[in-house]
Amino acid sequence: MKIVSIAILGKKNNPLYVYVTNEENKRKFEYIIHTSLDFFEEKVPLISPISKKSTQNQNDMYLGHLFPTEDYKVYGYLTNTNYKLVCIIDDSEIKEQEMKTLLNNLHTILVDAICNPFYITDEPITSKIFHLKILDLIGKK
Amino acid sequence: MNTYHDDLISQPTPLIGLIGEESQKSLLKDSSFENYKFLSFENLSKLPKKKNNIKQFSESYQPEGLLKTNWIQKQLHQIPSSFIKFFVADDLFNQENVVVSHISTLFRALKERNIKIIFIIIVPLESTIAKEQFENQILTIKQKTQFDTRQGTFVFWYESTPKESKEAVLLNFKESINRYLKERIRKVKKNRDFYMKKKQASIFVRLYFKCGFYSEMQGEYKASLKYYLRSYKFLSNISIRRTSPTELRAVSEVINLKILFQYLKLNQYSNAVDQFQEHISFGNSIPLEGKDYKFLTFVWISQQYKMFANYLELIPIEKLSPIKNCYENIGFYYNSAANYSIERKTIIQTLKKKFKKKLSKLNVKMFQPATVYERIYDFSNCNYVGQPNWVLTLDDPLQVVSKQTEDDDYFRELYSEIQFDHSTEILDLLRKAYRNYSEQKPHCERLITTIATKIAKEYFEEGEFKFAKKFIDHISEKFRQDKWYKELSTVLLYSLECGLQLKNWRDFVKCLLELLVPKLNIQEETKCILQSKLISIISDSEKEKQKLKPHEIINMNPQFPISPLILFKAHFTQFQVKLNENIYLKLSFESNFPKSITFKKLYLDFNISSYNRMVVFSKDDQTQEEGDKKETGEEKEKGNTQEFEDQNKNENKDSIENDNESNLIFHPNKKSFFQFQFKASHIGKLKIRTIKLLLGDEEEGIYFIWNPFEFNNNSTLNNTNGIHHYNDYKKEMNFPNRSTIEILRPRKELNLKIESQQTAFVGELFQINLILETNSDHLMNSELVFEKTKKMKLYSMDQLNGLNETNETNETNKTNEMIDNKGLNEIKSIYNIKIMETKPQSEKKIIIFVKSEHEGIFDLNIKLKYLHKLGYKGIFVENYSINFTHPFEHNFNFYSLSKEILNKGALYLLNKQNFILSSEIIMQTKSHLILKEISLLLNDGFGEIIGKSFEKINSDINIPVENNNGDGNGNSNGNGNGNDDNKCLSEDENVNLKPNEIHQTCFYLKPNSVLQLNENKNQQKKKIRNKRNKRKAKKQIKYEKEVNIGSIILKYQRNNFNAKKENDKQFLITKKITIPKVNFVKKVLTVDIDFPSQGRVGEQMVCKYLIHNHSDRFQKIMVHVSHSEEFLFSGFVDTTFQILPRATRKLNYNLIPIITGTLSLPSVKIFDTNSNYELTETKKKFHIFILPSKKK
Repeated sequence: MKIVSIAILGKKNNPLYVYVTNEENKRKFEYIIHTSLDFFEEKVPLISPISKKSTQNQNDMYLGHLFPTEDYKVYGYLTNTNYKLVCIIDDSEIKEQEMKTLLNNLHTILVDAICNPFYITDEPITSKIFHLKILDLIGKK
Repeated sequence: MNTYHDDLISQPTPLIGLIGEESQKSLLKDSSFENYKFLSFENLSKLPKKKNNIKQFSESYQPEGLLKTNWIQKQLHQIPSSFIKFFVADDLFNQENVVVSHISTLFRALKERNIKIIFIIIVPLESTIAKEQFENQILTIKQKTQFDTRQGTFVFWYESTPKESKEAVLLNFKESINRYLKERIRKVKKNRDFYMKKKQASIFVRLYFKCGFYSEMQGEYKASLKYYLRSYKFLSNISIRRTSPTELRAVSEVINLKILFQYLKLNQYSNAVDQFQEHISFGNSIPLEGKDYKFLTFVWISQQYKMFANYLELIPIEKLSPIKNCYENIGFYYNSAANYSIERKTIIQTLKKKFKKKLSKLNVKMFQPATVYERIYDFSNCNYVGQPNWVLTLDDPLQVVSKQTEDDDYFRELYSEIQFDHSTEILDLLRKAYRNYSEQKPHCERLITTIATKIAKEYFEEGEFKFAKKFIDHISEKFRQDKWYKELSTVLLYSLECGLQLKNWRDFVKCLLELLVPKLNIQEETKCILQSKLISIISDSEKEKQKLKPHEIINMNPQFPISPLILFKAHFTQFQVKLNENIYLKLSFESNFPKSITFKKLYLDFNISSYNRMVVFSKDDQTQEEGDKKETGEEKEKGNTQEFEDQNKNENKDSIENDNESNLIFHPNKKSFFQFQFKASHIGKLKIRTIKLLLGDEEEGIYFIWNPFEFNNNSTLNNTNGIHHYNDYKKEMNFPNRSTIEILRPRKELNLKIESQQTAFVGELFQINLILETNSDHLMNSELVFEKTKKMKLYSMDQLNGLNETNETNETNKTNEMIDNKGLNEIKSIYNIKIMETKPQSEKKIIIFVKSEHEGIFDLNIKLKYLHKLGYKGIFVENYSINFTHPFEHNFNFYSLSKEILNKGALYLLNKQNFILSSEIIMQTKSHLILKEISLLLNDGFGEIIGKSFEKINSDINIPVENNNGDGNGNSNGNGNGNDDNKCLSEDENVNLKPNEIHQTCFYLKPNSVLQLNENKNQQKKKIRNKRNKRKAKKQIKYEKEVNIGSIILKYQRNNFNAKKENDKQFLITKKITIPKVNFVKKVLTVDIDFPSQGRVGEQMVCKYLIHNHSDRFQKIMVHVSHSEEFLFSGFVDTTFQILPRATRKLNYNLIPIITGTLSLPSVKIFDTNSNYELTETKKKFHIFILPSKKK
């Protein structure tokens, strides 16, 4: 599995953090990430976070394979607070459990970043520590 | 599907050769034979020559290519699977030798090819030959020709039974074709066994393809699929060293296409998808020939996706579900194809620039076919699939250009690729993807947006700015909504260029301003350039203007599009002001422009147009302000007078305060403040409709417009009340928005003052001075309206209507003098006083008179109507209360006289005694008056007047001696009839009373007994009473209260000493004064005795005396017990005590009888000390029976 992009989208679908391994194709990946929002909406119908909490357990936050592109596979994860985590990997075979663990860890990192009192909600995450943690997660550090 | 040759994409149909005359062939022109293709042969020389098996199969054999292009062509167009030869039935007999020779020739020609010949013998309708004869004749011919049944067969076509004949022919067709194709497959398989699978994979590809092709031709799709899949499998074993990647891709594509069509026939769509994925991964695994050949890979992959999308569109929608689950939509494949086409185009454009010089030198201008794909599948010009040859069409079309060097080949490829219309291809694919995704539900908006972005970009690159703009508008909205500002800024840059190219001034400016918004991540330098561009276009730069030709005014909403470029706040410092007061409007602006920006004009538009303002800021920073001339012009027509208009204009000299040194130059991230002051000239709610800032010229500039109604006023209004000082909120930006102010009319514009005391005397004229005060210059006609009331009469002077014209001082003098009755006119209905002109800041005095015969407080309603120059009418009502009273106060005192005691204020009269009631009237006047007559009017059955006194102030009350007989000394009749005859004073006894002088009058009254008083009432009550509530009713009578005695009538005259004439004094006023009610009580004290009915000698008994006080006063009681010899007793013998009002006192006496028999109790006497009245009846004796004592 080769991770090519990691993205975190806010409650209102706005991009909070986008990391792309290949900067040349950044625009292409941004479009893919933006497109993934359609599949988030399709997989999780528009329900309020509260009602969702009651019906879904933590495991349901992992939405699995959202959609394929010609060369990549896009995986999604929706937090209880409606943050969207997107992971794009190359078109190789992957174990579902691996991806689930990865996105769970990413969620933990995100929670740490949001808990930072200096972070303004729904603004892009610019924390260097957060970025280093992401690099560590995907093995780029 | 047009890219491919028809032979590849269409199902192969077996070819049948027709030998013979054309007329006979017409028999096969029937729908039953449409699955076969017929080819006419005059003779068999047209057949392609059969190759001799010169080649010796060996393990080392390697073919030059994978699939021969002419092989498919041969199978489909040249070599029939079966032949047909027609004979007429008669010829079998008449021309036997000819028939035999024909058959022999055909057998010889086709001996090696293993193709079966079907001889169709046509038996006409008129034929008389019997069937047996035919059979005999055919046997003869067969013998002569040494007929081989494997090579040929005879079929009869009876024209009499065409249907049966047709079936017989078709059966033979099928059998012969199958036999031929099976034989071909067998032969191919036989050849296959010679080769090693691993080493000669290319041969296996070809052989299995052939098998698949024959099976497909047979209609055995499962078998054909099996062979094609095998063929495809062997492609991966082919060495790249020997086969070019282009050829490998082309062959794999052909085989893949065949496989997909077999799946389509077998309805195995999900397998088709798997096959396609495998195909794509195989294509990607093929290494490139060289670095710069990458575009060929993209050409191939995009073509595969396109082909597969086209293939999926052949499948009915209801059967697409397995495919939808896998890859969601056909649009995905079109989109992917488009993506690779875009990559292909990008590479080509790069290479085009790179090899621009080399390509210009290359003499391959007219190579045909131009595109790579057309070359690959143009079977006429290549021997093997995927091995294209170059053909020059200009000089020598047939000359095959052989490969010279690798470079030449590469540039030819490159050149042909450059000729390809990439944009059309990309747009076509994207449009198809867009269409497919648009139809999908649920709607995937963002995916569509992404596709639309690509379409827009493609249109933009092609110069189709109009279409590009259309798509950009659609895209940008979605990005705005999702707050993807980075992507939005990219799109907007395209949109900006579109606006410039289309010379669309509005779009250009909107895009440009949106790009300047801080949230968009554009470099600060770029933003500065954009702002400069905007300014240069708006300003006088003709060059820039020519580019865009701005010709219209653009209105910009401040909220546009994401966040405002200029933050704006407007604030009226007051909630409400009165007319002609100053209104203060505060404005603040904060610029988000990257650089300083200068505005030329500021417009303030209000809901009342006359308030509209335009502020021009000249270059030398001197502020000028102009009223909106157009609007004031309109106002002129509506206005009342020209004079007023002029005044209004003068008042509109407003002031502006601004803390910036340079006016209307907004610096980035700096706040600018303005204060406007103008006079409130119109009544009503004043709202800011719009505030506009003009950037550029008035004719073709940009207006930044704020609509304050969009502000969130509610939250801020509650927090503020009163006036905000300019300096206060200048310090903090957070002053509230308040865009509405209420202008009220001044309440005291015209004031009516009433100067007079509020107390008037009954029956006299009361003067009221009305003073009209004007506080405004705008008042015109005024009118006073008095509403007449029933209890008052209004009088006015004759000259009242002309008050305005007379001298005011004279008027006031007049009123101070005695009013001439003849000079007054009674106002009989609503009375209007019109005042034609009211001078500003002046007073006018109006006098009216009021008279009433009744006592009480009455309201005088005065309406004041006036006309304002601004066009409205003012009405306000004043209520003036006048208290009409008599000029004296009166008071009553009552005295009850007993035999011995004069108890002041006692109101309790006992029934059985004759009491004398004295009443007293003390008069204290406030004015001079002459008492003409005082008379007492008694109510029926009350009693009689027994005396009177009429004394002046401070005289002692002289009470006459009680007369128990009740005969009055006065003029009263003594019968208590209460007639008017009870006059006590004669007319001659006039009394002049001065102010504050007290006059006293006493009447001595003797009431009748209470029983008599209440007699009438008791009779009535008895009727009403029921038996059940008898006791209750008795109690009511017992405590009779509130008896009206009667009233005193006073006739007096006000003594006006200034009156000259005697008649003037004749204001005779009658006043009836009701005497206060008095209480009569039947019994004040009662006694109850409680003692046992019998007793015993020596045993103690208790005797109780209960004394009840029914009055509201303390009562003094005296008790005396006389001595008794029959009883021993203990208790008070002589005592005096007081009983509380409404209370009971208990007296206990303990008695011990001494003797037996009926004994009378000791006598107890209880006296009321006030009246010395004995409460217990002395004559009445109480007896008790005493028994002897009990025996022990």
